[in-house]
Formats: sequence, structure tokens, C-alpha cells
Amino acid sequence: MSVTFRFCRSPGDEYHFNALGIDSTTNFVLQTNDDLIETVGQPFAKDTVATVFHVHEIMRILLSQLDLTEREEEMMANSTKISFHFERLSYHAASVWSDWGPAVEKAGGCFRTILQRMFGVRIRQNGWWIPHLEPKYIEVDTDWSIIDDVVTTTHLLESTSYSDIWVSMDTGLRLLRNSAKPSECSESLEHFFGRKHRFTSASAWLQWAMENGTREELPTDQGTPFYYKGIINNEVPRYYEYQVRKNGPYDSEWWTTELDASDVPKFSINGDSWAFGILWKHDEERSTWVDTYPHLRQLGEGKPVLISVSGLRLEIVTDSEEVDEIDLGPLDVRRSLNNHLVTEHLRAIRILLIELGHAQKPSAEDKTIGGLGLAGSTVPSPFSDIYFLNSNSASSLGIVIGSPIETIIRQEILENNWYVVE
Amino acid sequence: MALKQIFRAGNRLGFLPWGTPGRRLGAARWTDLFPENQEAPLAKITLATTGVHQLPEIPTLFRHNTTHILPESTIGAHFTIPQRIKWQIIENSSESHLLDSQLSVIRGENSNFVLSAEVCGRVIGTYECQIEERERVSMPEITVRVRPIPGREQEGMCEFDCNQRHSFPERYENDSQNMELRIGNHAHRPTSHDIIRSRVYNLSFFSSFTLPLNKLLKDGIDTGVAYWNNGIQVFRADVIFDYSELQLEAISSGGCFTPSEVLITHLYSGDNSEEIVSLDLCFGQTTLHGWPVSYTIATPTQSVKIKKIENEIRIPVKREKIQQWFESPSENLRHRSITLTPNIAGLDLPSSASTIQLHLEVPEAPCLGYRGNRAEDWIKFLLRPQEEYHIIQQKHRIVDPLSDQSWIDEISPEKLSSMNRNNIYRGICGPAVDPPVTNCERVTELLPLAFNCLEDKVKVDFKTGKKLAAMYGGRKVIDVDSTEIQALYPRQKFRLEANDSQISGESPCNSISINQQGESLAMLSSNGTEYKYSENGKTGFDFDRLPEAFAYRINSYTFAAPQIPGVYYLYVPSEGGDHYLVEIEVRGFIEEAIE
Repeated sequence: MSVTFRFCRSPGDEYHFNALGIDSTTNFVLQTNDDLIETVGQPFAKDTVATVFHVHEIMRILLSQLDLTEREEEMMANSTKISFHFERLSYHAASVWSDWGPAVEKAGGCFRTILQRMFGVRIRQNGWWIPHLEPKYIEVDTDWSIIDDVVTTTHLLESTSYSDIWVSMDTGLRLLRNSAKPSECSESLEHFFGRKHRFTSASAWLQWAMENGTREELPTDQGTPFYYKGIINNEVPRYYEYQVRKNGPYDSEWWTTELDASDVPKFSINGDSWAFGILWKHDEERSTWVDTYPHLRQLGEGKPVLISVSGLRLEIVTDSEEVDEIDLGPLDVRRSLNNHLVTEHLRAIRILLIELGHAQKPSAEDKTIGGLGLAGSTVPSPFSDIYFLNSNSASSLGIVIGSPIETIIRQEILENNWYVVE
Repeated sequence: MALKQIFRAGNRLGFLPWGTPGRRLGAARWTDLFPENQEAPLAKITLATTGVHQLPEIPTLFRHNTTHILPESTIGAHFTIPQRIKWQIIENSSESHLLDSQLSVIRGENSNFVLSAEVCGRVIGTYECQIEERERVSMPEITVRVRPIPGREQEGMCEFDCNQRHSFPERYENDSQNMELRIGNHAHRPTSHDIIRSRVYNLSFFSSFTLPLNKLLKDGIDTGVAYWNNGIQVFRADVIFDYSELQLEAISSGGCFTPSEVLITHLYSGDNSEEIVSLDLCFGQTTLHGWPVSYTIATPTQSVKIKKIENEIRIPVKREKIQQWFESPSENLRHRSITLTPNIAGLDLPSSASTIQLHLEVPEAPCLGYRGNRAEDWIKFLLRPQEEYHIIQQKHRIVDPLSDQSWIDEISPEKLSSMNRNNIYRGICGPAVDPPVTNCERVTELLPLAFNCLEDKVKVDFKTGKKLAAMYGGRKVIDVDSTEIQALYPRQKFRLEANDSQISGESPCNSISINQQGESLAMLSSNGTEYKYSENGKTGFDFDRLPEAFAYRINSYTFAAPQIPGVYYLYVPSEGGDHYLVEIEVRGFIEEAIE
């Protein structure tokens, strides 16, 4: 449900508004999916509720006022400095909005996470951030563009009608109608999602993996080979890895130990027939099933082609000076990349079966994205597909959910992940 | 600059945009793998053909002047998507044609065409289709009795009526247009035919035939199919021919060889032109229903057609011919067959043929007592002349264990000759297989319990002895006139027969046994519970050799074999003055031996 949330005039010229740099006479509209919002009277007045939008707006006020440092030909702010000033402004914000604390939590709690969930900031190593001080937009469709800068909403409304702005109080997403947008300073959605730097299809991915994998025998002590069925009915094929890791592959409809089973699809690659396999092993200490050694198994004779991180001979190079607490250690990076590869492989198999007419295509209208294997991260980064679509998370993920660009963004993400969308 | 860069073989492929410990990553950006001017995407991967396209069932019998829509696609299966079928007529003796999937069937009865189903450029099925001009209606099976037509000029002429009456669920016309009887690939026309309506839905079908026997029984076929045609339908019934009125059994014949068995040594010694057996043939009737009967005699080497002259004929067969028969290829080494097949009206009747067998008697080779090391073939050894046995015996200094016995002159020369031959063979040869001297586990267990050798006697346990006897398959009867080696198991009971009469009385108590070394041992006396040496014996007794001794029970005239496997010669004097000598091998018992 979407309800219009209207800001009211400020009750008076109290210092809070001046300190925050907010023009209390500004009148504009916020959007929300929260049914309870109708019970809130004057959110912009003293003692009224704060939202993720409010937290992001405070951060934009901060970044637009901060003295920046020039590094690598970019104007940057360090996280320590941002932290210091954000905490100072938080004091004023908390005196304006009674629910400021919960709003900060919903926006990510930690100021680093708040920034990660905001548009208008690019993040670099060692805690350096690049705020987009000048207007910048990501053109989504013919009607709307995502505002990808830290220009405050109050400032924006000085040159734009409130009817040309769409702002979500739940996620902080800000959209600008294209008719009100300057013709320059825009980039395309395709560019933003890096479509040209992704594999173009499931076939392209599997063929690259096949050509770059290593032909060698599987180890005998690392688990039992299981083969992936890809589909278990003719609906949109989904795979829930958590279920298999919990219950094991023997009780899974997606896996079988029988390579010759008729429900294990075999694909014709380079003139031979191949099935996708993996070694499943039970981890007694963690009481979970672990999947390793993703491989393509040739029917008949021949060693399998290992297409794991090591099978593909991929190396991850990290900067040794990197000390940020959210950094991945090398082992964790490899483990994460392995999971990423397995997700890619399994999605590729399912998509091939869709392409061949054995299962249904997903619909861009369908909000259910679970089990589709979309490339994403639990860290809500603008780089992650999940950041835009996952509406199930308790924190403010699913940034476009309920917005006018939700369907077009879902379609773009499905296509980036090789799905042919209805 | 990206946080996590992906390298392969020293080359950067791209970067991972974000990450957190133990969590998933955002989509990898393969910035260096795909330049901006990236090439066209690779060809799509397809499913490997592991399943088979299934074609829907279609009829193969079509009515003239009808149209049919053939199925347009295959039946889908797991990972096999239904595919469009391209139908084609690849052979056509009709005027039928296809337009896409619409089949138009044109032309009359028995013309045909072949449909092919092509899927993805490959023919995966063909259908041989028949066109029927009329509707086919089935009727129950008919049995027709074939009768001879005596006095007809053409020999073997028969006649029969092929009739059926049937009630149908609907009304059919009774305008009989033609009738046909198919036997094998041949069609025959009746001398008359008709269809008569008895009630609204009841029709009676009639037809009469006159056919030579060789067209009926050709290739042994005794069934056919009858078709009556009216203007719209074809009425069909299976036909079974009953030939009992022809009395074909009256011309069956038989015969035998006299003698029916030839000893191998007799076959391969003497004059080749000597007639050593005769083939006695007995024929049936000279004619059947006025048709002359002839016979074909097929031997292993030739086939001869003869006209019968007398009811019985004797054909002498020379040694040379029989040798040829046994040297001709056959599945059986020990007999050859002669087949006598009657022929009537130009038709062989294999079902009335008889087979006569001539057996080749080959003495059994010794199993035990081998002392040499040569691998002399037993058959070749048997065919050696007697004088060669003597030379071998001299050369190898093989002692005849019976030579010192006082009664030796009273034993028939044939028997002594075969025993000596066997002894010489044992003296020069080594066993081709392990000699059967070891008992199976069960016999090894039961034997000392049933026959406990004490110092001066053998204690017999009746019940255990019966268990052992049951395992051996009971008591054996030995013909003392046989020159064959007699095989027994340890302590197996046996009786002796001469001229079909049991050897009995007290005289066997004075029997002696002689082992391969020529050492003799007196017969033990059995009272059912123990075997012991009788004081009345004329010879002494070596109690150390108790397990080697035979035993005789006068009450039942039954002998018991020694307990230790080996070669034994049993000499039995009789009250009538005859003396018997039997060569016995006591062999170890293995359970398979009974089977």
C-alpha cells in the first residue's frame, strides 16, 4: 500500500531548523508503504516521527556543508570526519523528531551503512567517500530518474515543483521527473548496472566456465557427487540453497546421485553431453551440508571439468593497506566468490531449461524474487541487485519497492541475470 | 579503484564491487573480460539428446477414399520438447497423398504405402500402411476336416468344406461376391462359395475346396485364413486344418540296428568291408488312398530315396560305412542317427518320420590308480593292437596284479584282457584331472561313525550307515560278466549278478580282493552290526588293512565296498564252479556325483 505523506509547516523558528539547515516553510510530499502512516499527524513538526528519508536528508545536509579533501582528482570526505559531524547533527535532529533513534536504525544504524544505502555517494577504500555535490541522475525510463546526488531536498524544491519529485520515506529513494531534469548530468540505467561488464547469457557463462575450468578427477574424501535437476516442476524455477544446506541433498528434490537419471538435464557443449554436479558433504561441527567442487560431468568417459574458484584458477587481489572493518579477509573472499560462482552456475542451468521451454519465465510484475539466484549482497550496496528488490529484509532493503520504477528496475535486473522476461 | 580485483593467470578480469565477511557478493564486474566493443554472444547451449522422441500411435490400416489428420508433433517427455513431425509418403503403390498433415487414402484393396515421420531432419519412424477397400469383420476360428479323394487321377488330391455361421451385432448384406483361402503366402479359390442369411443378424458362410495335399501341408503349415467378401465388408476367420481323415500315420515306418551298439575296438579292428551291423527297416502301407508312398533314408553321410518293395527290408552295413558315420560331424560323440521320412504325393512328412540310432560303446577310462606321467588319449589307447599293449607292459615293466593267482585261467580272456589294458593305462598315464579319492565333508564326517575300524573288526552303526547309503543313492547291482570298471563309494553296498541271477549263498564268503600291488585280502563277514574276519577263511588276514577289506553279509547276499578309495579286483568263487572277477574303483564321494 502506498500512502501520501505530507509535510506540514514548521511550528516555529526554533533553533533546530536553523541548525539543521531546513527551511521549515517548505511543503512537499513523501511516499510510504507503511499502512500505519495515516495515524501520524505532523511528522515534520516537533515531537513527530522520523523516517529513513529524514536520516538521509540529514546526511545530505552534512555532506553538502562539509569541507572536502582532494584525493586522486576527486573531492572526498573521510569516514571519521563524517562520523563526527553526523553525530553532532543527530543531536539537533533528535530534538526535532521523536523517533529519530529508530529512524537511524532503519537507515542502517551505523553511519557507514547509512551511506552505503544512500544514492549520491561513491565509496572508496580506507574510509574515503565521494559525495556527488552537483546534480546527477540515473535515467530509469521515459518518466523518472533516480537522484544520485546529495543535493538536499529543500534545495531541490527551490527549483522544482513538489509534484515532480517522488521521495520514499521508507527507503530514502528520491526520483525526479525527467521533464524537470536538466538535459546533462545523466547516465543510463544500463551503465549503472554495468550490463556491458556482465556475461550476456547463461550459455556464455557456462561456455566460459567450461573453457577455463580444469579437467581433473574429483577428490574422493570431500563428499558425494550429486547432480542438479534444475527444475522440479514447470513453474518459474527457483532454488533455495538454505533448505538444502539444512536438510541435505539426499532429501532434496533438486539433487540426485544418479548421473543417468532422466530428470538430470544433460547439455550439449562442444559436441559432448554434460551435467552439472557438485560434492555435498555434511559438516558435523556446524550441523550443515556444505557444497564444494562445482563441476561439469561428461557422460561416458572423461574427467570432470572443475568450475570452482580454484578450478577456474581465479585469484582475488586485495590491497594490503586496506584495514576497513568491513573488509573481507582473503579466505572469506574466496569462499564468497565460490558461493557466487555456484549461484551463477545453478541459475545458468535453470535459465537454459527456461530457454528450452521446460519451465516458465519469471515476470517483471512478480515481486517474488526468492530463489531466482539474482546477483546480490546482503550489504545494501548500489552495486547489488538485491539492494533494489529484496523487500523481505527487516532493514530498509528493496529500495525501489512501491516506487514508480519498481517494475522497470526488476526487469532490468532479471535481464542482467540472463532471464528472458515476459 | 575497486576493492577486490579478480585475476586469472596474471591477467585482471574484473572486480568484485562489494563484500562483507562470509556473505554473498554483488555481481562480479568482468570489466576486462568484456571490452566495450564486445563480440556477438556465443551460441546457445542446447539439451543433449538423451531422451527419445515418441511418436503418437497412428493406425496402419486405412479405408479407401478417406482422409485422416496425422498428429502434428511428437509426445513430450522429460527434457524432450514435443517437436513438429514432418510426414512423408516414401513408398506408394496407391494413389494416396499428403498435404501437410492431411492424408488422403485412395485406391483399392491390398494396395499400400509407407509413411515416414521426420523430426528435426531425422526419420524416427516408418509405418507400412495397408488400404482396405471394404470394412473388415472378424469371425470365430473354423476347423476344417480335410478328406482324400480316392480315384482322382492326380495323386494327393483332397477336398474340404470351409463353413461358418455367425451372429453379428448389426445387419450385413449376404451378397457373396468372392471367397479366398490364404495358406502361408498363397491364396486359393474355392470351387463354390455362398453367404446365406438365416436371421436378420445371422449369416452362414459356405465354401468348398479341392486342393492337392502338397499345397495344404507345404512347409508344415496347418493353419490358414478364410475371407468372404460381400459388396461392403470382408468377413475374416482363422482356419485350422484337421488331417485325421487322411490317416497319415498309416505310412509311418520304423526300424533298428542289429546290434544297436558297436564296441569301439570292434569298429576299428578287422576288415573294413565286413558287414558288422544290419539296418532293419519296417514300412507301413505301400499306398495311401491310392497315392504311392516313397521314403527318404537320411544317414549321417548321405540321403537316399527309395520306393517301398517289401514291408520289411534288411540292409547290411559295412564297418567302413559306420566308421564314416562316426567320423562325420555331429553334436553327439557316442551315437549316430538314421532318419526315415515318408513321402506322399510329392510331399515329405517329417511329422511321420522315425529315427533309428546306432550307439558306439566306449569302455570307461580308469579314474584311479594312475602311476605314470604320460597324457595318452584313452580312445587312441583303446584302438592300439593287443601286441602293442604287451610291448608297452614290457617296456615299462608293468606288473599284472592278477598274474600269480591260481584261478586266473578260469577267468574269461576278454575280461582279463580289458583288466590288463586298464592296468597298463594306469601304469603309464598320469591323471588328467584330480582323481576322485577325497570324500565330501559330510561323508568324511559320517564314514568313521558308521564304520568304526577297531583292532580286529569294523563296528557298524546301522542308522549312520543308512544316512550314508541314502547319500550314495542306495545299493548298486554289478553284472559280473561286464568288462567295464565298476565304480563304488566307500563302504557302499552292492550285489553281484550273473546272467540276470543274483549271486548268493555262502561261496562269496570265500572271496578275496586284490589291490593294485597284487596283495590279496580275505573277505570280511558281516552280521549287520560288525564286519569281522571269519576263522573259516582259507587265507590269513592282515588286520592293519581292515579299511581295505570288502565285506559280505550272507543273510542279504550283500557286499560292502572297502573304506579306502582305490583300485580293487574282487574274486568271487561260486558253488556251481564258476569264478567271477570284477574290477572295482572305490572313489571318493562328492555330492555332485549323485546328480
